[in-house]
Amino acid sequence: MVDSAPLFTFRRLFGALVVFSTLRFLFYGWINCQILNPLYTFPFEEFAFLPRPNFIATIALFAGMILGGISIMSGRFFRLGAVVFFLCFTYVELLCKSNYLNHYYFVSVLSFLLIFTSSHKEDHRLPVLHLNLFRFMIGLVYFYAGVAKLNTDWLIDAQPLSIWLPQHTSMPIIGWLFQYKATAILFSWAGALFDLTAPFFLMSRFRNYFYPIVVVFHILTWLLFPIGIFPWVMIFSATIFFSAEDHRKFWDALKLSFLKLPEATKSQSPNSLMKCFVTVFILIQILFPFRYLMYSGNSFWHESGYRFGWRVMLMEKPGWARFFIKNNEGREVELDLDSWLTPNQIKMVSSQPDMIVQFAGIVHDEYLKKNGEEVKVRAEVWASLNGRRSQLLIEPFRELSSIENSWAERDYVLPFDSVISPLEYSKLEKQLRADSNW
Amino acid sequence: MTKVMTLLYNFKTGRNIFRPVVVLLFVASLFGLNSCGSGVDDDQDNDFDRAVLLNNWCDNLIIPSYENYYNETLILKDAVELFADDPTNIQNFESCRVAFISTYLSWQEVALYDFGPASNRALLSTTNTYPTDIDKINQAVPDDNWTPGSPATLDNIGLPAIDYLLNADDAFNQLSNSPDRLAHLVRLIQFMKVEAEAVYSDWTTTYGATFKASTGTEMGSSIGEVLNAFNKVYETYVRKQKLGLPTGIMTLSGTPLPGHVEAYYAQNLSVDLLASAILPFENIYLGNYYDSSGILIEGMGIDDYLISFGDVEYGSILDSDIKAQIISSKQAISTLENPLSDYVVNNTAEANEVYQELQALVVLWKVDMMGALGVLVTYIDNDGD
Repeated sequence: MVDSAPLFTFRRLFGALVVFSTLRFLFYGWINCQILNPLYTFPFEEFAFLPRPNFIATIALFAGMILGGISIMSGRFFRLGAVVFFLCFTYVELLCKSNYLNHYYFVSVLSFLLIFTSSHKEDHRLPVLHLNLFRFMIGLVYFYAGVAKLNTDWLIDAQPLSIWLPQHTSMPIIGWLFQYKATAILFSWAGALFDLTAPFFLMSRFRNYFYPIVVVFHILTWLLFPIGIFPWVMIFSATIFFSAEDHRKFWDALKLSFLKLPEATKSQSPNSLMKCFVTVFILIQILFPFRYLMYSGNSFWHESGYRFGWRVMLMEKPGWARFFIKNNEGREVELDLDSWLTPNQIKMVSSQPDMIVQFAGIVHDEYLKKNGEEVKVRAEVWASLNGRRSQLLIEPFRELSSIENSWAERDYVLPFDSVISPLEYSKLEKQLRADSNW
Repeated sequence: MTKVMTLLYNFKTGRNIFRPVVVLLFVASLFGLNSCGSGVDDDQDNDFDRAVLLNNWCDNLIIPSYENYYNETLILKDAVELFADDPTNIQNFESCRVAFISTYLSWQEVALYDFGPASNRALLSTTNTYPTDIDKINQAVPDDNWTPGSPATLDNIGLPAIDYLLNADDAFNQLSNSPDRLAHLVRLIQFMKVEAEAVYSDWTTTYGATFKASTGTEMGSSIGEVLNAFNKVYETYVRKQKLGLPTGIMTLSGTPLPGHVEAYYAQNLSVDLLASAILPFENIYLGNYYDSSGILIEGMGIDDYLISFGDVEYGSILDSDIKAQIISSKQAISTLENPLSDYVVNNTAEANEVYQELQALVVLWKVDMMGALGVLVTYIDNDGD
């Protein structure tokens, strides 16, 4: 049993942040462009059974997020609120892969964990497990984000920072630094080092000196990259490593009686069910991000097992996809993507192999439904990874609509070292077409 | 140890860590304002100065093109009004047709600037949505309350509608004999002139300065706006609309759609429009323009930006690939023949080859170039995966 003030602070800040984030989402009109407007969505295969919400249901989901967030923040009807928030938020997150963000997944995980804690009982001393569960989760995100940076693109070529940083040469005071390759290299190494060591510094007695570095680091990423509220999630979350005494001082210093943490006079005894749950959860969290090791080849290229692994800001991968269908009469035509997908979906489909396959399935089903016609679908997809020249991403004459996305190797993705350039392709195209059964 | 914590958290004392951050941001914003005002500062050799690029684009390419386009709409408007005063005079009618051609050609020079003032007024769709709906035009002719500009009118206004009224079979007699029809033609060109004037004056009065001052590369910055529009207009409005759709590349039936060519009724214009549509892309890319005495000036363009990164593979080699492909594309276009509506039917395979050449530029621009520039063209928050 420990004084769990850090967890109470976390719960309050997390609640406030998700309410803010939801309002921000509504304010920017993303509810339309991400949820209601798309004609088709790209659900995660395992959750494809979830029905797509209509307008009313979408409003209900967002209302659930706001009310759930308020409940988490205030601690009133906490357990119910946490469940509602987790379900609504995760539901929306799972609707379409094109909206996937690591920080959404992080928010889902944190809100899920909150359900199992008693972090609303601010007058209780809680089993240390409750607090340490969050310290573990937050530490893990830092550490794994650091591990993901240990690759040659990041460390040797300083990519994608070499591409991204020179865009900020007009930034005040430090902007001039960004023109130099050395800055990108320095930032890459410093970033990797920061991520790898952050959990250990935050757990050590040096945390008071390290926390300002955390703040500066995240504010810098916030200024340099369009990553929304993620830096603030991390800045707030990292306070959980401070001592209970520090947290109490913080709330006392605000001199607002309704924010003051009550004395922890009661205590809640540990629960063996909770221990079991935590053990299983931790094991999954440790292992799940490493599933990309099951696949051969460059995981940035085929992106098998890429999501849900804390691989953040590692790629600049623009792409351009052209989809072709072939009907029974053997006539091949190019699809007009604009009439099928939103700009954001087009961007995502153009570089993510599983979404390419998913879209081929959508096209196939749509033709079957509307015209009663069986069509074959193929795609010519060009992508450029981390400053390399463009090359073909998938086999250009492979029928895609019959491929089921699974956890198997994506054999339709061309090997990263095959490097078929546009110029070579124009020479190869006829032969490739002839050799295929397209 | 807790002392630092107190410093960090004690908002009341004002001695918290956030105070210096706020001060820093404040000072930073002052610097930001300052650097916008002074424009060019050239003390860094290998620091590519986007302000120079934006100035070149704005002053030497964009504004002169809009000025030219606006003047052409004025000339066309005057010609049409002159014709309306004397509807039986075939000379007046012919001068309308001549003015129409130069207006359509000058439009190609500005079509790619589909951001800021142009996108606020939906200039692209009000000016050049084709094929035009002739039934709607004929319905609108006798309607005194008809007003152009609403979404329902997009496919029956602008240059394609004027093309129909001026160039369809028996156009002269129909206009001469129908005051309503002629009045409708006047309405159409007047609307176009008003829109052209509004966009042009936005650029010269307010937006030009805003454009030059936004030297960042984030979403919504000038360079982001230009490159987004550049890629979108090239891919969709040049490659696909001007050649792809007529060639039948995107129709299920697979047959060419001759009625989808640009300036269908003029017959002898479509290829010239396509040829002139590619030039502004080349100019924006190279930064080149003609000065008042007609001399070619090599200003700063995307090519210089690419090369400034110093990476050979992604800088100069990519640049020379793009330049070579621009040349191939222009050569390919020159093999097309007017009327394009006949050509796509009789020479579908050849038209397709040209389309492939235009296509190759999309890969180079949209994937390689954007990958190298790293300009953030995101639509929403994106954490990079």
